[in-house]
Amino acid sequence: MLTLRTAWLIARKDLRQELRSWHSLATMASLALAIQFSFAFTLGTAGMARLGAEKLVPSVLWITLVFAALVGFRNSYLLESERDALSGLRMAPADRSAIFLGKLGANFAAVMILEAAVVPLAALFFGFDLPAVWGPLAVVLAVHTFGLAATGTLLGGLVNRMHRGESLLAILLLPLLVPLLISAGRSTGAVLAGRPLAEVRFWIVFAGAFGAVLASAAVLFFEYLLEE
Amino acid sequence: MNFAPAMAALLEAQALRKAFGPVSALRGVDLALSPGETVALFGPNGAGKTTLVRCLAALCRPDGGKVLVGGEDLSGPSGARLRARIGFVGHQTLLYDSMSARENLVFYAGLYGLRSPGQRAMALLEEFGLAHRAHDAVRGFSRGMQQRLSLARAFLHEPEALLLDEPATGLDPSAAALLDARLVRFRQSGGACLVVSHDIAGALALADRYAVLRGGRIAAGGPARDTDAARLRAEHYPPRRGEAAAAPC
Amino acid sequence: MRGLALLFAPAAVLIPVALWAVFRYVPTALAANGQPNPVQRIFYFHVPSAMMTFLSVGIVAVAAVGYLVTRRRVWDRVALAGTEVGLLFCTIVLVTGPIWAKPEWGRAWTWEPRLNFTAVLWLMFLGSMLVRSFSDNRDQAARFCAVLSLVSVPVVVLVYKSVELWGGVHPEPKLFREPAHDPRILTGFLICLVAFTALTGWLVAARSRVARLEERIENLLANSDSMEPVQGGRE
Repeated sequence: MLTLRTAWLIARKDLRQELRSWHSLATMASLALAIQFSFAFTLGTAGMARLGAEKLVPSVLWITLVFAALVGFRNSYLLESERDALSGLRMAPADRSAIFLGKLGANFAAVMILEAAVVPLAALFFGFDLPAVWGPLAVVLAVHTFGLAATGTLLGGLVNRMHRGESLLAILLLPLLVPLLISAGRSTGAVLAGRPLAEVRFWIVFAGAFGAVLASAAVLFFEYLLEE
Repeated sequence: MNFAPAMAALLEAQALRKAFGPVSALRGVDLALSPGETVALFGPNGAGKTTLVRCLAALCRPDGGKVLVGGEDLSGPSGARLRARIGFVGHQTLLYDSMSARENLVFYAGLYGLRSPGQRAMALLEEFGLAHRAHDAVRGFSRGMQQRLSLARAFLHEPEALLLDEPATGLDPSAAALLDARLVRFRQSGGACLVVSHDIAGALALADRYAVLRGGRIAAGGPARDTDAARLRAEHYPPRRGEAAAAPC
Repeated sequence: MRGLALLFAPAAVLIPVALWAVFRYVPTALAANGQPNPVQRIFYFHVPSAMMTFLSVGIVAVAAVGYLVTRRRVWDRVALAGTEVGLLFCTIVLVTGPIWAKPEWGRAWTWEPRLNFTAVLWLMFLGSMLVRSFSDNRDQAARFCAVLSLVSVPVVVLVYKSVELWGGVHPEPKLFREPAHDPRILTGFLICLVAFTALTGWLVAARSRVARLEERIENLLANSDSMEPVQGGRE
């Protein structure tokens, strides 16, 4: 289908640009590291010990990922803004939702790459047994990352068109992410405590539904955001 | 004023209106491009030329009126398919600075579903004299080279209608001559072309018809041979309040 | 102006009636320790305000669809008014909630699901208003706010579900704590609800009217050098 093929081309181009310069991924990773350290410093070793990894890590991990991913969502559209390349994409003979789908794919991949760095670091800093739980954890991360990427890609497209709109991205994103944050906190905590995936089945489905709703809404409305 | 020519129009604006908030850019514009015809569009700054061109290119959504491609509504359900017939060069190059010239063209070739995108890209790079820099990042290109690449991008998918907003910007005389020759070939092969330019004499030499946009409306127009640069300048480029009359070139 | 006056009249009559009902008519509630708790009267403003918040969400959603389909400015003005009125009543809920909770349950902020839900809603209303002020022009503002509102609607449903599940331990304040052996409680509540609805209707209409005048001024200022009537957009 033309839309999917166009989306694939855009996703591939975005990822090629990201990986070539490493700017965006490096910024995201550095920010993630800085946030984790900030949590550690404000909690103190006693505080961290008292809370334990199961209570601490879901919160720290997801706050870190959301704010680091924000950078990526913004950069995703900056790629097109230098020379008005977005107009080039809009002129392509495919449905304009292909632009959203392509960027969603690229953003999803970028955040997953970020997680590949952040999660082992979290295991190191906050002390949980990653090899024991990595399977269920990966599933939880993937499903929730999809919802995060869908929301971020949609709102990134919105703020991109506004003069100095990037300062709005966080305040628009966080209220919409509340269901995902609740779901992520619960399921990540359970999985880190060694519970099997089947026990968090409800939250996996919930997060999947969230992602599906956001992605569908975005496909429906993205054209309106790109209009002039 | 309606300057609909005798032949069926390839790309047409009908009663186009567009406002950005309280500011009206287009107040009812009719313009038609027929196959094999080049139209030169003139007008003072702020007249709405860029808005008109972007509406014709499906980049700007008009508030009223229609844009038709081969008689079909560009904003209708088959709009995506119709966009493939249009080529556009704007004030910006629409290129990716971090990618090479070849990569840019291969990407666009992919978007338009062209067969053998690599070959097509190289062919156009040859044509516009950029083959020797095919694998260099666009970031390092001079303004003139970027403009040539942008033109190559516009011709890539063999459009039937070309919309060129000040295409000679940054081009040295030899490149400008190359562009003129390419446009003549385009016209001979049946392509319709709209050129926005501040170089009145140059554009008139190339065009079959001209139109002048002022205050969001077509104020004048007709066959290109019926007028000349001096007359147009005097009639349609009035000096602004507090300024002496300046040549818009 | 006549239409606006017609809408104002019911609110002008009902609000004083509601005030009388809340302060003179309904019985004083008793706190857990048997002492009279006059602060409980705030419930008669708190709950109708919450309902007006939801009504505003509905108004904004309908206006958003109306604008995207017809592109007529009037829908955007209603959306703008609905958003501001929604933010107003949402703020009232978030302020009256803790005032009510402190004497009743000992803590001002109870992290109770409905309160959390209202707080998230408040942030969404605020976000919408920020988008409006950051937009380049009013047509862009209209489109973006419409999209944001419509995307937020299903998310609001998911927020409601998830904060409930998140809630867990805290005592849920019941809507009618004493079983209605005193019919004045229900009557008083209904009077307030009707009064607030009338007030909301008038506020949205009045704010829409002001928005229309603001647009006219903007048109005049932008086109002052051309003397031509504005043709762009649809009125």
